[in-house]
Amino acid sequence: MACMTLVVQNTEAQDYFSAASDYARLYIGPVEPQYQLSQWYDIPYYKGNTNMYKGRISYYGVVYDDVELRFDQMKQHVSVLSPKAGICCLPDQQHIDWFEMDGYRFVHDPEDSTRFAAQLCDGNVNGVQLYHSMWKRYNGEKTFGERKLLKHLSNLEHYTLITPEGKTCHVKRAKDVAALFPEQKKQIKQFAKQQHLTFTKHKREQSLAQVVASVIGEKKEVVAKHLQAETTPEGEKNKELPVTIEYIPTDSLIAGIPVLDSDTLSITAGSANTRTYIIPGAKKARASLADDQELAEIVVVAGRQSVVQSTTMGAEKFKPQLLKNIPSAFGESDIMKVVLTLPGVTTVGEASSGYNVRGGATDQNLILFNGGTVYNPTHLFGLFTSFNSDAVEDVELFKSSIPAEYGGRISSVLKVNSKEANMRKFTGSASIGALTSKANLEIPIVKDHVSLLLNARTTYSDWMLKQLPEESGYKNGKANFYDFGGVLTWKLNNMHRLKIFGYLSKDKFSFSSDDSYGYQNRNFSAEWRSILSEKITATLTAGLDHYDYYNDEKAKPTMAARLSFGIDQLWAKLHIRHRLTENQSLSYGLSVQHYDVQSGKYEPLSEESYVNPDQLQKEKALESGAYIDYEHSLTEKLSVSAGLRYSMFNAIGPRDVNIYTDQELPSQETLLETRHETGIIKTYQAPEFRFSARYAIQDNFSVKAGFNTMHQYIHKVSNTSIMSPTDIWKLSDLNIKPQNGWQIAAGIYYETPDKNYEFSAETYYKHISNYLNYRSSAVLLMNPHLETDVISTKGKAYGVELQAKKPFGKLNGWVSYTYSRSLLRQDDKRVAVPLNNGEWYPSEYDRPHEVKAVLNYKITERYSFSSNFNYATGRPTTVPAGRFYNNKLGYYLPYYTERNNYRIPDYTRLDLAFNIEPTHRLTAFFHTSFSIGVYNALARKNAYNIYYVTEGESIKGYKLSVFGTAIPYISLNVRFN
Amino acid sequence: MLTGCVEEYEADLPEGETNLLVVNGTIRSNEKSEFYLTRSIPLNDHSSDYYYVNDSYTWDAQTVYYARVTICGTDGSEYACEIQDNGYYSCDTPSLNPDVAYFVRIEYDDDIYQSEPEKPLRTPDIEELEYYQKGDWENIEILLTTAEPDDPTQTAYYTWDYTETWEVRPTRQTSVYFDLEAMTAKYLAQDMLYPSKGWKIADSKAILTESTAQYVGGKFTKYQLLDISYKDERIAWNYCNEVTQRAISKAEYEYNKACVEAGWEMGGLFTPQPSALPSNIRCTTSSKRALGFVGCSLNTASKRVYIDGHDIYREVPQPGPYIKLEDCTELDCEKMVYQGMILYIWDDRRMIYQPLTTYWAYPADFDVRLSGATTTKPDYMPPFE
Repeated sequence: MACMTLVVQNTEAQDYFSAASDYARLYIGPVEPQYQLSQWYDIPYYKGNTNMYKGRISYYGVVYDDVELRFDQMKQHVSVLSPKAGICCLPDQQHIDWFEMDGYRFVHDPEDSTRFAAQLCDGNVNGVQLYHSMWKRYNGEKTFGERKLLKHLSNLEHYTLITPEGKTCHVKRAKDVAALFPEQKKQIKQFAKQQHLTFTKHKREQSLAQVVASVIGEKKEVVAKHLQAETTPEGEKNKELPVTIEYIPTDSLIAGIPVLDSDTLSITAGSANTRTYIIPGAKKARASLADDQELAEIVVVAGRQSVVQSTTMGAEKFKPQLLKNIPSAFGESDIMKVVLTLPGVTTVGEASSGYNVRGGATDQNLILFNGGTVYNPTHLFGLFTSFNSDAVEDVELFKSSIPAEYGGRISSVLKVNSKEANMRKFTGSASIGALTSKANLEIPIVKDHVSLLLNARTTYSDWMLKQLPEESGYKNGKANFYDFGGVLTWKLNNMHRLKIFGYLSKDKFSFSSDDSYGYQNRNFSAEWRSILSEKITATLTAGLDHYDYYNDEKAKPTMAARLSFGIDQLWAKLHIRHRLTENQSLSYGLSVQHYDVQSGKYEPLSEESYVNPDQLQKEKALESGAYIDYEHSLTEKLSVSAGLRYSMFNAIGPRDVNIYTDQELPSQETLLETRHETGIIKTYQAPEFRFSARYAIQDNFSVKAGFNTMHQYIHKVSNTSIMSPTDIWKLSDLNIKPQNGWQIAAGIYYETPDKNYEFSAETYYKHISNYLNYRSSAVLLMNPHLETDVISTKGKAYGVELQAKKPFGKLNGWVSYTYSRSLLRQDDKRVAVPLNNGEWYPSEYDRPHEVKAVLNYKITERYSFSSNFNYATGRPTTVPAGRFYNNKLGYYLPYYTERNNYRIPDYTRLDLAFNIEPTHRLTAFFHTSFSIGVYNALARKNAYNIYYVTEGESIKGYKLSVFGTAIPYISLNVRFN
Repeated sequence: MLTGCVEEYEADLPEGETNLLVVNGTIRSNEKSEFYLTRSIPLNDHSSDYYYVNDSYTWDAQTVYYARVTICGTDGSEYACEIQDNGYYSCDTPSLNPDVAYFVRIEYDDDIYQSEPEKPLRTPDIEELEYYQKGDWENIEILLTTAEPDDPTQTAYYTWDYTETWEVRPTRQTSVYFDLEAMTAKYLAQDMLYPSKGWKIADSKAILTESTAQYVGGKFTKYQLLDISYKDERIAWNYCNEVTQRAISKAEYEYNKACVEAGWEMGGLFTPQPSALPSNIRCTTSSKRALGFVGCSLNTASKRVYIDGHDIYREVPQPGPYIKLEDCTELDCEKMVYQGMILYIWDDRRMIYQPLTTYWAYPADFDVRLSGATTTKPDYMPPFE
């Protein structure tokens, strides 16, 4: 009989970053009703207490490790504690294949499948199976003195022995066993006597197990079996049956094939820290293959591997559920803020758009949202991210071992994937915060085949600006944003799936009536995913990304103008994953993207304006890449991964090209001619190498090393320390070379045997070339000769990241310390006066010491307390070297010589939150939760910047803090299903 | 909630390069070329702002007095500058050759500094200088239109200076004064009457610089040079603004912009990081830095705009506070005089058994000279004779 089996092993459901978290099927169920302890004389839980026991459970064939379990012996049900919400849920008891706790494996009682029995002997040795079932019966109320309400339970139990022939009997002592095996009667009794076995109540179990083990019999073939398969009525044939596969040795599994069913598994195959397997030689696959396919039975063994086991390094993956317990400004859960709690990720200050990874600039991070590039991932000047956390499935950050399928940025890749809507049930969520509100709907259109996810978010943040003092100049400012997202999923069958993503975000703000800013991101993409064969999976994606901004200046009517910038990107990618053998896999593919950059447009805003409409010529280019990534587990201990990406960039016309004197810096003086060119103007191409290796010294102790080279053909040109709404992006061309960089990293990883703690230390060295730095007094906007205002600069970064993580338990979270440096150097011999005399100087985001701690403490299942601590060395900034008298102005002005020659005060911030789950009735349509917290609880006025202003005859120093005090918040989340 | 985001900060700043030579000036053809030489000082060192001379402290901007300043041409021409009383080095420059680049050479402190040679730039005329008021209660804009440039396809860079002259009138008049000897009020003699008009003159104290990069035809049309409040004293009666326009190089434009921005608030979320001034002065004998910019111009263009206060909506300056003394005595009046107040109404009814009432106000209400006005009418000011 063909068996359909889906087994997930090694799923650390309790792990914060785990794929199978609260949304795993195991945790989708009603809340376990609570007993009122004061009314019960004998609480009916296993061992008579309310403790949760850590164990394993197989549910719908999926095995979940390290799950907190509780066994109710009266109701004969098992509840599981969801790792994030801390709620005791009741999975569908029929579909529990088995569970293990307190040293026992419990299965459905062979005599009564509504009960669970401890499996004392499974027939694997001699074909004899022995079960111990124990249940409690409610006998109604009974008066115990004054305690009239106390209730009384009686214990019922028996031991069931199943002979190899399938005969079922109750046994109590050795003679009962002996009676079932007449030919061994004597030996069994003799054995009991020799072993001095007693069969009193407390010794019975152990003694019976020993006696049964002594029975001589034939080993029972253990195969996947349907417990009820043979007795299934005809009408129920299509119904999902509880399925059990036991003792599948992990080493017999083959890595490689991803699955389409992400609703059950919640994983993205092939991504860092996840692994999928198939079992060879079997038939059909429930998870991955259509019923009409006669292919190998697929057993998906998925879930996040611990950092010790994965080959990749410098990669982090998390689900947005993690955000729930991390305090945030204004209570708005923000995936970008979680990224910032990871070691090696820094930012120049609060409310800063963009982030810096291992000493790289903000533009060196590729941010992919469903495969499309997001150029400005923020709302409200950087207070919030563009991504609605309710609509995000997972987030993955690659800091060092960047898979070969990604390219185009030299520091990191942040991959954000949208959720897929529930295919069976209409569900949704909504939340109200101090500044924003959002809603999320999951609509099944055709059950199990087509679903639609819609989400929207908007703000009402003007009140915040009204709180500012009059002298700030922003009191009358306005700031608004909204974003919409949608995912249409069409699962044709288990072999093919189509997803269509759409995303729009718009921001508009003004600090006075004289100016206003706005920007928008638009992403539209489609993903077709197919399992082509047992060994090959293909994913074809294509999309259109758009980003633009504008800045209206209306202070002087005759000069009222709008400055705007835009970028369109059309892209496509084919990714194929090929499982070669059990230990080898290959990923390869092609990618291509076409850039169309509107470098700048200047136009009058009214008829009164005398501004000359002007438009810089469009920049166009084609970036293409072919890649191959090979993974091989050479031995049990040694795994290697090697990748090669060949990238090519073609700057294409028609456009005017400035030709400068060879070996001279581009400038007005060295401009030889301006030519109009069509076709391919300039081609850059280069191979990029990706290597990583892991050596497992022990099962829980490994070392890893990696090396990668990257090229970047698009540059953000900015003279601000953060991403600003008026930053422009510039493509490489004849005069601007691509940035390139390489990084070497090594790490050591240890996990305690009980998997309660993980420790890691990673070190890296990164080198960057051709980073575009602006020269003094550079004109970056509407500059047709931008190459004359930027100077290519070298960069280097190195550091050590230490992290300790406690993923489970009442107290959980992580603490990290990072020592890192990020330095730049302008040593181009053609520059007459290089910055800082051509010496290495710290970049704006160089913060040598950083300590981060995210800790959560679960007081009870309903109440939890969480904290987020962050300390960082103050970032470098440029301060005046002195002052000089300007006779025209009649006062002193500061002047600057060295760039980034001073550090602002160190940054320290502590955020606290108290989370309340008011109800456990998940069966209710609405489920609400509250979070009360305070951002910047120490009320520190952390410096964002230090700057100097001429005031009368003196030059005064000022410190700017984005948040001048502690910011309390309360947020309400409503989920319905 | 978000208050207290900005506060004064005393940083322990690193010791930067100071005592740098700072040179500012322009080489002008057929005009007096002036250069001002100073030295830079530490940011928080205020002791060097003053020097002790003749038993008193005098403010000084670290002026360099003992340098040798020479205007040089790449054709070998040289014109020596002399130090003036005001600390400027100047010389009457002859007509410069437009095809020759000129620079200044400064010999100071055993080092030689030079500016980057620049060819004298021709400045187009000012085609129109006008004022515009959109409506009542609106400010008055001074708008400038430049003449057609030689090459409209090329971006031109300009800097402007202006001199404002405006008529002022006392906000109060008086024909009496309190005579301390006679201890009574007396009429002012004709020659003692306060002037009925005055004129104030002020040079611009701002760097006005702009490029035509974004303007139609490479010229400025109705470019707003100045914005004057309708309540401003300057446009209450007669106002004249003489604007001097000078074409500058892109480098000088960038230097000017950098100076403007250096005094701004540089710490905002999206404001650019500060950077070194793009000076064009270099020390040729050592690696010492120098600050400043020396431009070169072939000519300048000037134009005046006049505004008659009656032609616009404006608010005439109101008199200041006054003191009314009721039932006062001469002794009270004497005290007022000693307090510097001016008598302008003397209402003595004591003869009919009514009290003496007097009105007093501050002198600045009566005498425009006290606020810096001159009573000598500039010949270019209306009404013309």
